Formats: sequence, C-alpha cells, structure tokens
Amino acid sequence: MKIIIIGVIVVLTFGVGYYFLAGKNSPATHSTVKGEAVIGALYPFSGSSATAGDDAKSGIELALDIINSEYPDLDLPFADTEGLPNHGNVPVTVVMADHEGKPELGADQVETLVADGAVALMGAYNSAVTAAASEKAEQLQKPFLNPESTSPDLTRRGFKWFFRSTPDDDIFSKNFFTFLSEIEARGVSVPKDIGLLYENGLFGTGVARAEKKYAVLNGYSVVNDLPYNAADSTYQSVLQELANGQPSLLFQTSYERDAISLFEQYANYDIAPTAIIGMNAGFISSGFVTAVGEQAENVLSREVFSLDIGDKKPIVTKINDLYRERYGRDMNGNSARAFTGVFIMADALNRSDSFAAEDIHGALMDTALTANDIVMPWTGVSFNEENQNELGSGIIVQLQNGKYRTVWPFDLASQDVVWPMQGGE
Amino acid sequence: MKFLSHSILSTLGLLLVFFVIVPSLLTGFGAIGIYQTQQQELIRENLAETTKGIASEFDSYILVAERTLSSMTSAVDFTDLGKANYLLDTILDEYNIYEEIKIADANGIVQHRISRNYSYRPEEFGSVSGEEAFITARGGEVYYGGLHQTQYSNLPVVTIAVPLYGLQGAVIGTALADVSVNTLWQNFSVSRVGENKLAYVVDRAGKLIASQDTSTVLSRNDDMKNIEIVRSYLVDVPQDGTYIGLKDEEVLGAYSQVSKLNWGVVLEYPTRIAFEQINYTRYLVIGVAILSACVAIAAGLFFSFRSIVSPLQELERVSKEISDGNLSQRVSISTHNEIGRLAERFNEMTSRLQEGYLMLEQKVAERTKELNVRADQLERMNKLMVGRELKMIQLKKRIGEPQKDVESEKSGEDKESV
Repeated sequence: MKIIIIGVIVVLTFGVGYYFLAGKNSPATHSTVKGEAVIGALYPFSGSSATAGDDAKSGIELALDIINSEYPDLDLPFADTEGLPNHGNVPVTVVMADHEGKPELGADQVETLVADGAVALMGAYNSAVTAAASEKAEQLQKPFLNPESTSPDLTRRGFKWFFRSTPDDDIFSKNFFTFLSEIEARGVSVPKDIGLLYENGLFGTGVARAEKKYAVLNGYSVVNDLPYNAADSTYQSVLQELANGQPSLLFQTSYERDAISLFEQYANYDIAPTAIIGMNAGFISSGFVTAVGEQAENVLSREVFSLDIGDKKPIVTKINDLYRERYGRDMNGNSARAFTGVFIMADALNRSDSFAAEDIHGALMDTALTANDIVMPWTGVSFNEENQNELGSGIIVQLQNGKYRTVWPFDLASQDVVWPMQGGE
Repeated sequence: MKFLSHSILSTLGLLLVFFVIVPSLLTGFGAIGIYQTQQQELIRENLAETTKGIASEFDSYILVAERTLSSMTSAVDFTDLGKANYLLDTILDEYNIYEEIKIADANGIVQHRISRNYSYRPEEFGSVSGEEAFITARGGEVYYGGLHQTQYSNLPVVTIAVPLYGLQGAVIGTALADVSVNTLWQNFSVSRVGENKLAYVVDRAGKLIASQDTSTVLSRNDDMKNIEIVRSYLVDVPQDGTYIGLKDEEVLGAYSQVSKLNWGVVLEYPTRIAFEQINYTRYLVIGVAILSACVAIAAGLFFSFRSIVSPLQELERVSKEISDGNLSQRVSISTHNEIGRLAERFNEMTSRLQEGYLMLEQKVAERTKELNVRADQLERMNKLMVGRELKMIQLKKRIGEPQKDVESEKSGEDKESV
C-alpha cells in the first residue's frame, strides 16, 4: 500500500512538473539538420544580355571553386577550407537558370529552382527580371540576393527576403555629377547640356529619374530625354531625336545589345558628344568592349569594379589571374559582383544555423564582411533596414586603349581622364 | 471503497486528494478563469483602440496622397514638357507612395505620364476620357478607386484622381495617380502596430489588400471571407472570442473602417503570445497549488504514518506477540496523544495480565504441590489399601476353597440324579 501511495505522489509530482514546465513557451530550437547548400542563380544566358550572363556565370564558377576547394594562397574567406566549415564542410552548389531577359520567365525559374531544392537565390542582372523574380521569391519566402541590379526602387518595395549588395543608381547618378564638378574644378571645360538616352524599363527609368534630379540640382539642362525600348531592332527614332538635339554630354543607360547597336550607329547620325557617360550594365560587358571597343574609346562608365584597383588591393589581381587562366579573359563588374555575391551567400549559409529560409535570412541580416573579405572596392558588406548594402560605393572608369581604367575617385584612379572623349584637352 | 477499509494511510491519502487537491484546483481554475476573462477583455479593448488608430492614420495617408497630388500637379506648367517632367519626377522621387502619375487635359487626353517602372514616350500616353476616375475628377470630385495591379509590376495600387483648376476656377484637367498600397503600408511600423501583432487590410469584397508581411499579400489571392473577422467586418458585427487568423493560428482580433476607401483594417494578436503572461500565471498558480497539495499530502501521510499508523502497527505487532503468549512484550510508543495513551493502557493491561498470569501460575504451582502431597498420601493410602485388599482377597480365597469342595461334591450328586 505504501508503494502505491508513494507512486501516486511521485506521479503527481512529475505530472505537475511536466504541466508546469510544458506550459511555458520554450524557445524555438534551431534546426540543425544539415542539407545541401544549393543556391539558385538566375541570369540571362541567352537573349540581348547573354554576355553579361556568361560573365556572371564565370564569376560564380570561380567563386565556387575557391569556396569548395583549398586555395591557401588567397586571402579570402573559405579559401583555406573546403566547403562550409560550420556545416561539416558541405560544398556550396549553384544551379543556374536562364531567364533570357524576360521577367515572367525569371519568376517561373524562381519557382522551378525552389522546387528543385534551392535554399536561396541570386541574380538576375536585368532590373525588371530582378523585380519579378524577387517578387516570386518574396511570395515563396526564400532569400534572394541581388548582386548587380541597381534600380533604386528595388529595395524600396519593403520586401523582407530581397537583399542587394551593389550600390543603387541614385548613388551612381550623384557620383556622375560629383565627378563632373571635380574635373571642372581641375580646369576642364564641362558643357551644361545633357542628353538622356535610356532603356525604358525599370533600370533605365530609375537611372534617368535620378540623373534628371541631379542634373537640375547641379545646374545642367536636359535637352534630350529619350527612353527607348531595348527590344527595338534599330532605335532609329531616338537616334534621330538625339542627332537633332546634339547634347554635349550624353548620359546613356543601356544593356549590352542595345548599347552595341546604338554605338555602331552614332557615326551615321553624326552623334559625337564631348563625353558619353554610361551607366554600367551594357557598357562594361566584355561583349560591348569586343564589339565596339574602338568606337567607344574613352567612353566613361560608372563601375563597381576595375582591375586596376589591384594596384591597391592585391587580391583583385590574384583573383583576376585565376579568372583569366580559366576563361581567357579578364574579370569585369558583372563577373566580380556575381563572384562577390556567391561569397556573401556562402558567408550567410556558413553562419546560418541551418539551411532553412528564416535562418539564412537572419544570417544575411547579420552580414558583416569587411573590405578585405571581398574583391570589390567597397568598405564591406552590411545590409541596412531596406536590405541594401550600405558599405558599397561606385567608381568611374574610362575605356582607354581597349581597357577600362579607373579615373575617379582620383585617389583610386590609375589613369587621368581623357576629355573630351575624342581627345584634345 | 474496499480499498479504504484496508489501510488508514490510503484512506488518509485519498481523503487528502479529494479534500485538498481537488478543491485547491477548482478554486485556482476558477480564479484564473476570471483573471483570464478580464485580461482578454483588456487585450481586446487595446486591439480595438490600436486598430482605430491605424485606420485613422490610413485615412490621413490617403488624404495626404490626395492633397499632395492636387497641390503638386496644379503647379505643373503643361506647356513646358521639360519642367513638367522634372516636377513629376520630383514628385515620384520625394513621395514614394506614387507608382504612376498621369496628367490629363479637360478632354481626357494624357499630356504627361510618368511611372516608377517604365518610361512612356508621348505616343504611349493615351487617353483616359472614358475612365471613371477621369469622369469623377472632371466633375470636380475626388475619386478613390479600387485595388488593382500596376502594368509593369505586380504590386497593388489604388487610383486617386483629383480635379485640376484653372485661374478662372474651372476644371481644366485631372491628375490621376496610382498610389502604392504596399508603400503606404510600410509606414505602419511594428512600433505602431505592436510587437508580434499582424495588421492587414481587406476591401469590401473581402480581398486582402495590404499587410506588414508582403509575401502574404503576394501569395493570398484566395477569398479572405473564410476568416471569421473578415466576415464580421463585412457584416459589421464585432468579433468576440478567438478565431483562426490570417497566419492559420488562433488569434484575438479587431477591425476598423478606413472610411475614404471603404476598407477594413484588421489587427490580429496570436493568443499564444497574447495569453503568454496569463498562461504563465495560470501554470504558476496551478503548479504551486498542485505542488503544495502534494507536499501537504506527503507531509500528512508522513506524519500520519509516524503518529498513527506506525504506533498502530506496533500495537498490532505486540498484540500478536502477546496473543502468542509472550506477555513480556511492551509497546514502545512515546507520543502523548490518544495513541500514546492507548499504548500506555495497553502496556498496563499487558503488565496486569502478565502479573495475573504469574500469580495464577504461582497458585497453580502451589496447588500442584499440594496435590502432589495429597497424591503421595493417596499413593501411600492406596498402597496400604491395596495391600489390605490383597490380603482380603487371599483370605477370601482361603475361605472359599473348602466351600468349593463342598459345592463340587454337591454338583456331582445332582448330575447322577438326572
């Protein structure tokens, strides 16, 4: 009988303890299940921006090789280990999908990549595709890192899962006018009439709006405001309007195919401004330089990367040597940003408790890469409340003798600016 | 109940369970139930107040969108394309609530059209003459449209149209703007909505328009009328009690009307968080009550065992010894209660019994001794008597022999006569 009573007391005591403790909300435990670190990457591997997609692909592949193999000579994160050390050295895998520059296809590809096991996504170069694809990722609640689309509105949508590592076009546009003010201060004569020629999608529209704002603020007049459809075959109407306006400074925002086509036709329309200032994208793709390098000599472009910063940042030269050895060409802004994007994702995956979306999102939010961790000329990577990297900054490069050289900021410049672009001053 | 008759301890245990734990729990649950109801009411009142505040601010934002559109566009010089575009660009840049703005003349021909996502060329401006927004604004009234998606992004917007007045006071055109609901919603920060609370907006058709959680808006195209509070809002009946909310968990909720757009703002608070403190208190009180009851039972049983059961068991053991004849056994109980006194009486009784037994034994021994003496005497008497008896027998025998001879002779004579 005593045993029964003692048993009852013990059961009651344990029951009370369980009830009492189970009643409290125990903190959610992180899943420690290890899975595959698969990243889905969306880029235009066909269509008008295919070369940019190829550059991004090459950058991604090189980054993966460094992360998943041992490169003890490189002073980069993951270079001296294989895979993600915090997850049992599991390798990072990137599955790539071609969106052909089509927003709807980009959104569909996100769905497919996630269904195929991608735990996070990156891409998609074209701002319009990035907008559609990231919207789908938002819907599916998957982290989406955008290394290269610069439309300011992309991070103003209030999306939780969308992150951008590159600075946006508002900053770059402001840089243009700071650059013009500074060369003017050095005695260069800078004309004040501007023509804006830009593709009429999200990318070009955002850039043009920022350029118009800073033009007025800096005392410039916009004589041509010419949006065009990048899918047009000839661009005759805008070329004619541009020829009529003959602006002294041409601010151009184009993807690769349209940039090439327009440059090939400038001579036919006697369009020869004092300077053409390109907004990255098509201007810095290897296809552009190859196709119209001679006609585009001395064209200026906003950039986020240039090989000559290797003089001040040796890792850039080392990485470019590996890149050239593998692909037979130099890295450019597209490949460097995609390369950096993979490292940002790998860093987040490595720090993440698991490969669950919420954990990766939390790790991305806590990103704190320094200038030494990346090949970009930024002070690091850290995302602000809009999930925009707040440590990024731009440079201005000029195509000199077939290669882009950093000409601004002057403390990073490897060459002097050639002004006007036809030479002379 | 048979169990009750077997053991005092189990009886006491059960009595304690039924008369200590059960009443304690019932009282505790009752008190907590009252406390929980009061807290729920407080939370619900707080939710209702917050929701009203949000709806009111939502109205203010729509009003700001309307007034800004009206004042900014009335300053547009339609004759100067460059300046007009710059001004519209500035509006888009400074006021991120607008996705697209169209300026139409009195005939509905769009003179300027600017979008956040697309650059229109003049040949793409088009006409709005047949649109309800234009017709309403052309008539001098402000138009608030329903929810739709922009042409170049899938983000939700509502159209607002305002009349533009000339110097003579006549309507000379209209300004139409797509106002981003998503951007508007971002203004309702967590600090305004409240930590862990989810706010969202539904229209009169029960469609989800906006939420803090953009992914929910993008993925929920289904009819929101399956959510209890949305049904309540549509028929304007206050929501009581809990229900399964937008995130498929049990919530407390409240709604309030955004009057300008005829939308409903819903605020939901998961009960697992809302009642966290209440539940914690409940578990604490119940836990303490049950633990106290257990301790009380354990202590009660322990002391009962020590002061009642154990002495009774000792009494039982000693009684058995005594019943087996061991009258030297005594109960060793030192308590001063009834059982202690019972033990003393028992020991006294046993002592007396033992004394009586001893006396009895002594008397028996004395009697036995006396009996033995008597027995010896009797033995001796017996022996004497037996000796005499034997002598008597011998004498009789001697006396009897001559008689036998006489009878024998007599018997022979009788046989001859037959």
